[in-house]
Amino acid sequence: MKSSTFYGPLRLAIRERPRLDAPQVFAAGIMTLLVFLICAPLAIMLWASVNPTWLFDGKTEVTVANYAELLSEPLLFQALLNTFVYGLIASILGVVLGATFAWLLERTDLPFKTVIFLLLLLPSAIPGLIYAIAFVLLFDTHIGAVNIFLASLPGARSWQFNISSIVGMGIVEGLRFVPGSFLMIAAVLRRMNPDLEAAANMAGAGVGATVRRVTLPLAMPGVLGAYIYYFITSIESFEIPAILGVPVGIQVFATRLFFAAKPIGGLPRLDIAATWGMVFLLVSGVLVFIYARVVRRRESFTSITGKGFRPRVMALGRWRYAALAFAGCYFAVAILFPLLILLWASVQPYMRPPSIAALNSITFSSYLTVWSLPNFAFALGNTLILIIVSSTVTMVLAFAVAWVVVRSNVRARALVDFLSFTPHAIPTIVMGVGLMILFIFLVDSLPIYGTLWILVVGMVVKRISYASRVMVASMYQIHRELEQAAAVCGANMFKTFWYVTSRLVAPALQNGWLYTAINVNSALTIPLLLHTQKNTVLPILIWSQWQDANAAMATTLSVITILLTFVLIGFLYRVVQRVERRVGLEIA
Amino acid sequence: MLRVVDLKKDFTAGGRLVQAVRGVSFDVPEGEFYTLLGPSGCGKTTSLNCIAGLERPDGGEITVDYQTVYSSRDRIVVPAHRRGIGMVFQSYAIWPHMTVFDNVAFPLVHRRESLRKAEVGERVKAALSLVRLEEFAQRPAPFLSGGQQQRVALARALVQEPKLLLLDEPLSNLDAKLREEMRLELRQLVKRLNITTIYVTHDQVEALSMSDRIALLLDGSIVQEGAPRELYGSPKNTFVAGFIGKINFMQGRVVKASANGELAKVETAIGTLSCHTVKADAGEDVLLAIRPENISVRRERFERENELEAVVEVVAFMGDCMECLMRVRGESLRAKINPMDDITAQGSVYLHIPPQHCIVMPKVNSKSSVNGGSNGNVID
Repeated sequence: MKSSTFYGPLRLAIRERPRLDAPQVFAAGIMTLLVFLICAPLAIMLWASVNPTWLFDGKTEVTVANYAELLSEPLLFQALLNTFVYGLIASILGVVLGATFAWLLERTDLPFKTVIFLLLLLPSAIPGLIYAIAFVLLFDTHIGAVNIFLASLPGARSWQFNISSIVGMGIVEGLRFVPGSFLMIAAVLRRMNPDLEAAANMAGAGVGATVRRVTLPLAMPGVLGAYIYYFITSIESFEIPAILGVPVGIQVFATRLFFAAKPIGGLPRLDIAATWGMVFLLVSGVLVFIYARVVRRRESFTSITGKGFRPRVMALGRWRYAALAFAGCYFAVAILFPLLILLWASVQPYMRPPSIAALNSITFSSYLTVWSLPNFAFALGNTLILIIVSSTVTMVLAFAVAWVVVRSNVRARALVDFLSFTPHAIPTIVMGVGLMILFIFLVDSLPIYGTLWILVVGMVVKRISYASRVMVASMYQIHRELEQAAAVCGANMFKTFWYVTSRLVAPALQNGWLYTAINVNSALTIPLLLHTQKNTVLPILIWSQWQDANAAMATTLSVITILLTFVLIGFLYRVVQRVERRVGLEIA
Repeated sequence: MLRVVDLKKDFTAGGRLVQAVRGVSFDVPEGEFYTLLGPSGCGKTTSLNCIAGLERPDGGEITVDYQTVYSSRDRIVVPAHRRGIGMVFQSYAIWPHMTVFDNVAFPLVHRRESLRKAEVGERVKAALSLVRLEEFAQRPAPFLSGGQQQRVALARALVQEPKLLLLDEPLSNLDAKLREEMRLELRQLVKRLNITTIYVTHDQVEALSMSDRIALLLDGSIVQEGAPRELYGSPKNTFVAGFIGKINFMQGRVVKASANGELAKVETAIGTLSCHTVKADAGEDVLLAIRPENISVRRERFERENELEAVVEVVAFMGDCMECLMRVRGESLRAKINPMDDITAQGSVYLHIPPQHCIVMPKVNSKSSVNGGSNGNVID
């Protein structure tokens, strides 16, 4: 046999070396990086909070004085109360709306399901900052278009709604939760055996009784899980309280923490900020723990299996018109009005409510003058760099994490898995403050504070949880034999990785990249917290124009940001379609 | 050609040490079709992966074509991609992002010294024609049926003309009919190419019909090794007897040892039977095993040695044969007879068991006592 590849043991055999091999070194590297990115900011924050003067003069003198001071502070309890009420309203609204739509789309014969499905997901494309601005333009007591319109109607003045209130903040945040909670609860309903409902029907229960006595109790653990998840999300939310609440003096925990780290006048007291951060971390830690318990119990719920069921739909009959009207109202308030008012404000030289008279003053000049803003081009360039670099780094790191977790036999792989997931449980703003303190401390050895790179670090840490989940799931789906086959065919580790593994996870990588990019594009919290003159990005520009009361410019920038997001979503949609086509082939 | 000496491999599963392979040794001469047979968890796939280089053994020595690829004593480990062994995986492991051609060409393109493009094309074509898939070369892999995927996997394993071919349950994902066709085809192909083949399966029919020799594994050790007829006809113990085909077991006692060409006599609950080969002395307790297809059943007397009276309890028509569950002196016995025979349930019949088919084995057998201990047991 002329071609049989054989190599004598003396020449090419690889002799066994004790212990340390390449995968272990690699895994150790990944773990070190994760510990540095995730644990170091929290550790230094804890240290700074118990050493009030350490950051200024390096003196270490452990004291709980900051905590004692904070606990005696009435502001703390005011902020806690506000956060709690705000979170309660937002999560209840988000989950009730999400559950209603999930039931309508999964379990009834509602018409136009595809359109409604796509429209339901649309609000997730609008960044929170921009969403909040749109609602100010609609429902502010002075400039809000809807309120002005109501004032012009006789007797409707009492219908005016003040968006700059806890209830208003809660509603805006709640509307932002609908896409996510809808998807979560729809998944729960899809995994629920419709025979259980049919059995109730057969036993003589009507639609109402079936929903109340069977569907709801069975879906309850899932709905409760979604509820706690969104309660946690709402208490760490910063954008909406900052735009709606702060101007009228309503502070929540996240905004308090922000202004402790970045006061409007005067020097920051980072040790105080660190103390607020630790308390915040504790509160959210307790909630995450409860969430984990609830979700675990849900998994042991027997009626919900992983099996797919063919959905059995209920006939709505005449109620379908009511359901459609309900959906229409929701879309008008949650999507149509906000988008229209943003467009309207961006083509008006100064903010005036929509009217026939105002049509004459429509001008697109702001889309030209935006380029003459001193740092627009700079911010746009920075935003693009930030999106590309942080999405790429996030996905590469997530791929590495997935490889260690799924493919290596390193003993610490469970720890790597856990570490990569922890940022999900840490409020963004706490992470931001931690990174701020860490890189101010490291300013001599790792001088990235104040540059674009600290934003990259912040984004990677924030997005690694989701991205690593995607990559781990995708790696688990790749049969190990596909890689072993390459080894048997003569490919070494690198060739196997390059020609087989990376090609097989490519769709997941692309998908995750775009999803990360969309989120980076709309993130305000970390850029705002770590902002200096040198790393301005688009959301910062929107924020500062809005603070300068330049509504036209702020909304023009908002429209540009939304368009950028839509372009990214367009790509995402195409990738998903291509993957589905390929999956379809494999099934065929 | 292939020599495995005292192969050992341990795993830790849930903090507990599991000895997956405990000192397996075998020798396979060139061109032989050798099968590792056993129930799941017996260590057969682990042994195969150690030969392929996909897993690193904990001890022993593996030599392929007089080249040591693993030796714990000399601390030699040749990585999988330098062993030049062909392998077909249970899942076929056809890469879904490539065409059939790219899949088969992979071993030629990605080895250390690459071939010219024209030569790669020629050899891929040749490999595909071996498995009769020439026309499918440009087809994307996801467009293949299970049987076609299996052929592509085989072509990919054969394209580099390996001296050793490893097959890990390659037929287990095919439907029953295709599986039967492929058994013969696969054996014919590797025999024609004179490739030494190691075949792993849990299916005794596959093992019996395809192999030159079989090693039956249990709990990481070889229980019995030999030609298919040898394993079937002279199983060493109840596990081998029960794993390879169905069998009736009964306890017995040697009343007369075989000597001077005379048959031995074994006393059992169904009567005293003459048996051919008995390596036991008179008075010893033994186990007697009789395959259902070696029992003749008819309504009339045979007027021969080893004839018994029985009552038929259940008759099951299977198409190619008929299974009878009978009762002989209160003990149940299973027989497999011609489907055209005129035997009905509740009828009284006569049985004949040829002495050469009465398998006598030692009674003490701790491993498989679960199945083999009691009287009149049938093991599938």
